[in-house]
Amino acid sequence: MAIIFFRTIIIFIIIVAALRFMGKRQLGELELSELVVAVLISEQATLPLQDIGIPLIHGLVSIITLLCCELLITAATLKSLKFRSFICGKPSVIIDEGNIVQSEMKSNSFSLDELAEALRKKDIIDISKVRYAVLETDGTLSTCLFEKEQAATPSVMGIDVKDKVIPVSVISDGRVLSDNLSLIGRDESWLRQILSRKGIESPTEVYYMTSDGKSDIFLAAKEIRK
Amino acid sequence: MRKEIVAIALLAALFAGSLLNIKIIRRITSSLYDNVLSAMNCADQEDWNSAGEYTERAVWQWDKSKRYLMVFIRHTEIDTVSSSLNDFRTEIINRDPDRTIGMGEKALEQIKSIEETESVSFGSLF
Repeated sequence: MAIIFFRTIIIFIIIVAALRFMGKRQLGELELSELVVAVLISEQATLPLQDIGIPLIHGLVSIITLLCCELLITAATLKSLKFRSFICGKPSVIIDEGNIVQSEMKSNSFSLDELAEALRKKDIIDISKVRYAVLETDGTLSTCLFEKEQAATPSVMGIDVKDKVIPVSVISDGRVLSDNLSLIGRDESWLRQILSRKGIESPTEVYYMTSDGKSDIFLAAKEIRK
Repeated sequence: MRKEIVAIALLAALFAGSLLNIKIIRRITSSLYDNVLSAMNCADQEDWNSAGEYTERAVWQWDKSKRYLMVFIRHTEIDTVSSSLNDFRTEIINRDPDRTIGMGEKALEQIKSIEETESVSFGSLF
């Protein structure tokens, strides 16, 4: 029992460190080699946990070896384009100038249903609006619509707009985030002033508040428990 | 670049550690093998006192090496060798030449299998 407890803690620390080294990308966006490493690491980690007759070092050696290989593969893919396309593959143009490239669909084993689903996930219901669609190496679909189908932007309309300062969280669950306050060039006295104007005495009464330091303020007071 | 250097250093350390581990296990098993074999020869000549001494030496040596082996090889393999060494010792105490030789051969086979499992060969890899 104690062995499993300690082994679990050791394996947990090692896996968290290993995944941290692999980067911050989400699981759905893993490259092929990263996916293989993630699957193998989880598999290797469970072996010494399930059977205390297997030395912990067996799991650790394989995890560390996989991690080192992944680091070296990543470094090699950054250095060599050929190696990168060998390991990760190349993006495939699935729709070219509005036409579905059937040979690419076939070589990527990408069905029409999957294409329609991927487009729907990007809020595109009508395939005829798509000028280009590229199947990326991580399996996601990137799209580019025909010019006439794209949303009108201020630059297209010839309207001059100024970039807004992005609002940041200044109070989170009653706690004042001083770093974010100084980021928008404000301090706590300004914050208290704003709160008193809204009839709130203390930041502890606020559930969530964002501000850009000027006029854009979002405030959600805490619900009063009955 | 620092990450890659650490990765290469770690891989090299693991590789060197694996080779060193094979060497240490080979040294442990070959010495154990020799003691059990000598005990078997003595038992064959019905020199039970010498056979007992060799066996005790083998058991003592095995117990001493266990702490290291527990970290690197499967515990079931260690238990198998421990149990066959104990059976061998029991037969020597009982002074039955035929059964002693049989148990000795079984112990030798299991000691050899530990070395073979840890050694890198085409067969063990695939």
